[in-house]
Amino acid sequence: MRMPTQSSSGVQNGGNRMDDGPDLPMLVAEANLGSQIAWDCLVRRFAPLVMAVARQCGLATHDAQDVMQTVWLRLVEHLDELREPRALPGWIKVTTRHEALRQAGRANHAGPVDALTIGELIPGQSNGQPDVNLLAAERHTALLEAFAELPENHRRLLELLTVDPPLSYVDISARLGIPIGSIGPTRSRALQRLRRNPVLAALSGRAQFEGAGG
Amino acid sequence: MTNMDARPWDEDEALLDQLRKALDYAGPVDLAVSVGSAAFTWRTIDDELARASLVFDSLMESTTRASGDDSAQLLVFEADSISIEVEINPGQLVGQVVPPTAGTVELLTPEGVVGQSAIRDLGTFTIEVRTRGPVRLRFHGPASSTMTDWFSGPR
Repeated sequence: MRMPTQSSSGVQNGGNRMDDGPDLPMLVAEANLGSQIAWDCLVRRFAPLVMAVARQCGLATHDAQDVMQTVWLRLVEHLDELREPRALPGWIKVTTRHEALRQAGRANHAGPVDALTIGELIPGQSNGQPDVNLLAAERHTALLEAFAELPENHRRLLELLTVDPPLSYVDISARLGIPIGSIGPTRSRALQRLRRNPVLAALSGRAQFEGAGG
Repeated sequence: MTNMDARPWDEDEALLDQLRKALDYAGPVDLAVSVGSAAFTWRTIDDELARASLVFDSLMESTTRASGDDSAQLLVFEADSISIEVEINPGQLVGQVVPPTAGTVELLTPEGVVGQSAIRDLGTFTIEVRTRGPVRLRFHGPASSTMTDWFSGPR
């Protein structure tokens, strides 16, 4: 169950932006100039993706958190080497997966770990059947990657729309400082943008995914 | 449940529901965020030191090692002029600087320096590790200093 957080969402000149342009390049640039606030935004944005990828590799919470700390420490020192800010989600995913598989290998005392053994590390994957949990985990990480690439105002709104217990539009309006009447339209623009992310499109196109429900 | 049919994100409600499930799967991220925020202090620390990058990890190699083999994990970090090999044992790191060079090796956690060892003959060193989580080594030789990438220490 996720409760709404009170975190500030904004970068100095980005927190109140209402346009729908991608703000990832700006966050990366500001973090590279030394902005702790921009860095915190990046961390908050990608934390769910990192945790989900670590869990997908079979890690329990404690190990997943160790992996995550390593990922942030690596990113701090590699952020300025990223030629293209749009490569960031991919970098984060690959780095997390590598670290998580190392950690999983150690946790299982299973010796070498490679792509072929990933399935064995994930519970419920040993019966030779296409695993519903595995497919769901893939879908979760794809969605979280697409979610991380949304502009801040879209992310904040969708975050509040998915908390449990649900918030009223009045509450959401007050928390975000936006008119109630703009919530509906922004919600559908945000979801449309999420849906169009190539990561989701790729997943949707796969036959096994189409049949995931059995 | 119904949105498992066909494409689960054609409809707004279904997509929002999928997003809710994905965020729940990731779990609470508050700790993630505070740990991540603190990592930023490492941005420019020891910027001037040579970096030794991870070039080998025995856990990532598909060798002939049998499953259940409990030999220690071996990491190799390389900088321009030296490499640092580290074996991860329970509670301690056993390593070697190649080529053998006099000096000291420090153990760092995200909180700072937590241990130190003099380099012995043949470039070997042993450092006790009492924490879990990411660590890195900083090697001080007569001519230069070198810092390894972060790696997961003994569990």
